[in-house]
Amino acid sequence: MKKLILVIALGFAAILSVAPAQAANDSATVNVTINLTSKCVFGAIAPVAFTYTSFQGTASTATGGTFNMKCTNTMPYKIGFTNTATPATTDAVTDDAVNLAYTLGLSATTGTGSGVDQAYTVTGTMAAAQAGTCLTAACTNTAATNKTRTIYVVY
Amino acid sequence: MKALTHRIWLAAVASLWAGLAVAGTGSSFFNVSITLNNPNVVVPPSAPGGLPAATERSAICTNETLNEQTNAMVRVVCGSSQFVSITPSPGKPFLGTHGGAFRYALGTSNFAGILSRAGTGTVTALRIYNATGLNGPLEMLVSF
Repeated sequence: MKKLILVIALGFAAILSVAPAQAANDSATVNVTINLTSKCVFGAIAPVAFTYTSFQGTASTATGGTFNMKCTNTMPYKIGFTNTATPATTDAVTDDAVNLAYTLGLSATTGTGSGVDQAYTVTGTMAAAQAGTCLTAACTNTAATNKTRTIYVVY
Repeated sequence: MKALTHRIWLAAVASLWAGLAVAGTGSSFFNVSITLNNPNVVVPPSAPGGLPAATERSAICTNETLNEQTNAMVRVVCGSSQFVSITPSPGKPFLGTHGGAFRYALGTSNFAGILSRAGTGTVTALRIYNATGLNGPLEMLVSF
């Protein structure tokens, strides 16, 4: 019995001897600096397609041209066809293979970033009554050197 | 002096703003595809010489200038893709050219020529010479 009391007493003594070591605490603050570089990212742009018949009576409207734009939250941006502070909103082209003139535009030319994809469309119109150049019943502009167009985002 | 300083200050602010206004740019590419149709193209039956037979139809056609100049290229564009018939007419002036890999192409007359390139509704080049060796005047008649 005496031994048991001694063991218990030693245990309490040990606990009491540890407690004073935890009495002192300290803290400090640290600043986190973040440099966020704003950015806009183009999604893939679907090809813009025209189908035209020589001398047709009405203008032709292009299909396709859809794409997504994803920009940093709240950042305003502009989209257009020139790499300038205010990009051109239209692009007038005469295809050098089938000799047909067309004008490209955009469904919208300004936006504000939201951090997620925002949908746009490259529009296209081809005026009526054009002859075009074609030796056969149907031609495509596969060989055209100016069929690839560029679109810019400025922010 | 104050006004000048003010203007300089405004210009500096404006240039700074302009610099800040364009923080970055990006670009992407896309293709424009065009299909040009001539739905009324009719391929005429071949004549005995292997050339398409001439077919006359009414339509609006246009041609470029320089038609009557030596070595000129004549391009005829028709609204409904007619075959363009080209035949010589003796006794009329024709400012054609000589030379080239001619083949007989104009029937049993004294005139020969080469149809350099022909497609339905289009004749892009035709040279004619007098097969008898005479340098008499010729005429090329284009009807469509």
